Amino acid sequence: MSIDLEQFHQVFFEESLENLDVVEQALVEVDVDSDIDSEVINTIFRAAHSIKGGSGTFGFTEVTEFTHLMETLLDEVRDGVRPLTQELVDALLKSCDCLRHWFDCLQAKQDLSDEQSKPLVVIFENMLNKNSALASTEVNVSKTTAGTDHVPLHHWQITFIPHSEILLSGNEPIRLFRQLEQMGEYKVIADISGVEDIDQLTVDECFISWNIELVTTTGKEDIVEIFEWVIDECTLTITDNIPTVEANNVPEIGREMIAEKSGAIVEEAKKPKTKIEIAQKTKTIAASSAASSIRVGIDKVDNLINLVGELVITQSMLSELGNNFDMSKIERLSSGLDQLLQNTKELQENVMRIRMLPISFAFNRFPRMIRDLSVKIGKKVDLQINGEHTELDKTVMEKIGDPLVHLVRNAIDHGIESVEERVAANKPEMGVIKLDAYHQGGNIVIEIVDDGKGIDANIIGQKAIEKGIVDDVSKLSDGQIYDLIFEPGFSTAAEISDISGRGVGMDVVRRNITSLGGRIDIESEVGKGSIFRVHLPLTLAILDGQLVRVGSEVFIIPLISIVESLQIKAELVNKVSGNMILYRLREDNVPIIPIYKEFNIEADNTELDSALLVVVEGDGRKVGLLVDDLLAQQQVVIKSLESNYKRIEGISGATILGDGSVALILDILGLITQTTPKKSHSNRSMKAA
Amino acid sequence: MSSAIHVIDCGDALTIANVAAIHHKIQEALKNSSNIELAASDVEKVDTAGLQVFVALQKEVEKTHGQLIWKNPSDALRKAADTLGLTKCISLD
Repeated sequence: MSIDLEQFHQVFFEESLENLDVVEQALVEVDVDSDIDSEVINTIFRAAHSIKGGSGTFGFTEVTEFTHLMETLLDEVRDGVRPLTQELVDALLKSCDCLRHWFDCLQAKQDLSDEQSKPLVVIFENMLNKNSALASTEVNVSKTTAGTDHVPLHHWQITFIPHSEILLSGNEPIRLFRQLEQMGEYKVIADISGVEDIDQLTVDECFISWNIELVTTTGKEDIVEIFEWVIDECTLTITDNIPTVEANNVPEIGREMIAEKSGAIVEEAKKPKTKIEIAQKTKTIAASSAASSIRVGIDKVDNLINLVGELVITQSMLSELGNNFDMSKIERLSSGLDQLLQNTKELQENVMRIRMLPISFAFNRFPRMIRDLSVKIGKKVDLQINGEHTELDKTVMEKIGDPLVHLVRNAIDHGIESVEERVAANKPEMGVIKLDAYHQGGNIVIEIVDDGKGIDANIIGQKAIEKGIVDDVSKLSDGQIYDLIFEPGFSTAAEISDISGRGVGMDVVRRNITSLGGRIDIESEVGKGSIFRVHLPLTLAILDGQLVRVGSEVFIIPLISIVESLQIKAELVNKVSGNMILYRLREDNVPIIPIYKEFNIEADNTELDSALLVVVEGDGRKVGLLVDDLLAQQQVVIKSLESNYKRIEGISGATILGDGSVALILDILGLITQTTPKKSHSNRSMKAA
Repeated sequence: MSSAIHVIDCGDALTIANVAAIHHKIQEALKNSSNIELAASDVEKVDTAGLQVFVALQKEVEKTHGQLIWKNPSDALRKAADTLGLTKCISLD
């Protein structure tokens, strides 16, 4: 039997990333100037310890060594030997970034770079060395006074005789030894006398035993801890072979003796090793197994099992009815079918709930981000989070993270004023950014609210004209003017700052949100602040759709895109250059897209007069879809066309209807983009004169 | 048995997951020659089970007066053997 530890890597990465979140959250909450709750330190320590332990198990040496340093410092803080200073908090927060980056690299099977870790290792070592210098001074002082309190230098003799089955349980001596190597001067002698002849060798059993000499300041408990997981699978003896000497107080002659015996042991033992040994390159030929996973509460699984139980009961009841059916049982059949409908619906809801995660997964990054940014730009910002338990589909969550980061950065950079500006405006020095999430209908709404200076529609309008995005803003409402900031090209190089202007404009934010089937709108009041409101579907697996018929084909239009449906009045139709037909819809001119032409199918009706027009909106632009008939509205399960067939322009997926036929789901944004020329995309530029 | 050198490619991993395959290759090779060359430049992952099989091989070639030759052993391999105290046992020094 062989165990491939790689199968556990993904779980380790996920757990470690969660642990990093824990560390980060705890550190952000720490106020170094006041009394720190020891439980907070313990929480941070435990998380760092888990990462170290796991990385050691899986042979991620760089991570183990780095977290070992973190852990050593945290241990000193925990023991009250070292104060938790702002410098240490900052360094630990940066360590979280470094580890996160490493985990990303490990997941992508890339080499780990020490670019981020190197300066941190220097900081940590300086801190530790300062402390050992301090300890050394203390030892000298105490020696002159009491003669106690020493840092003992041990000469451990470790005999490790593993049981032959040790490898079968996934325990690997080399990982244990790597940890010992980091502790000090390490010498190992393998006893291979038990290794059988090549023909008789059972390859997944271990027949080697080891004698290890380890000269270190590390105590026995820490060495035993390394063997903790294999203690039942080996014979282990650990003895201190030579009389204990004091690392910081070795008499000169003794120091020489030790040095002579084992090289520069004394020096090495005094400080932790810094050399990062890349024992394992991260390149492997194995295909990436970074399939994302999800943790599900046992209550959700139990609910599902109950529902499946009920479904089975209903199904047996219906089967029995079907076997001996006569018309007298029609009522029972009808109630059985109702029951089946109910069971299926509940099952669907519960299965969908499995993919739901609280939005705190996306919100958790913001306290740290706001802390760092507010320090960097010298603004005072208080972050208030509400509705963090609101649940959202995991896929949507993963995709909404970056747009939210951009919006929050913008709120700090462009929304919240400097302290001086706020004081001059009679506002509290501390600006407030609120993140709120709540469910509204079948959607989740995320609000990013700031009490900053608000958006001045006049300035935005002026800038949009300068950039050539619009010709005239005099007839636009404030809301429409705010929308201009989402137009490509609105951000200019002159505005690019380290905080929000990273060359990724708000147009990308809106595009990401609309690609998720969502939308974003803005409310703002000059001097009071702004609200960016993101509406997203709860899931990407099911959508509420309007079924429409064109000829013999049924298409589905996502309900979220539909503005209204109307019957065309011929007098409101205008033909313009480029074969474009516009429909005058109150203040707007809306381009008409005949679906039958788009997909080259035969329609019942090609005349515009009295035909049905479904007005849809995507990316802030409206178009009218010409259809033959409006059918029912229903929830449809989205099936990927790409993975089952191939990508088709204007179609975002397919679904199977109740009668077994396949209906295509229209990609509204895609249709709008491919049908309407860029300049005329903006409904603002097509405003009726 | 010929005195020709039989070359075995160690691949990129000498771990418990694939040691059975290497063991089989070795056994097959030993049927033809007791001079074994191990091409180990690509080895990136090594564990105890992976090295133990070479300990057995070294014993076997010593018994049959053959030779175990390493061709460009990778750093990862050397480091692992060093950590496990097996460098000499498998003639990696």
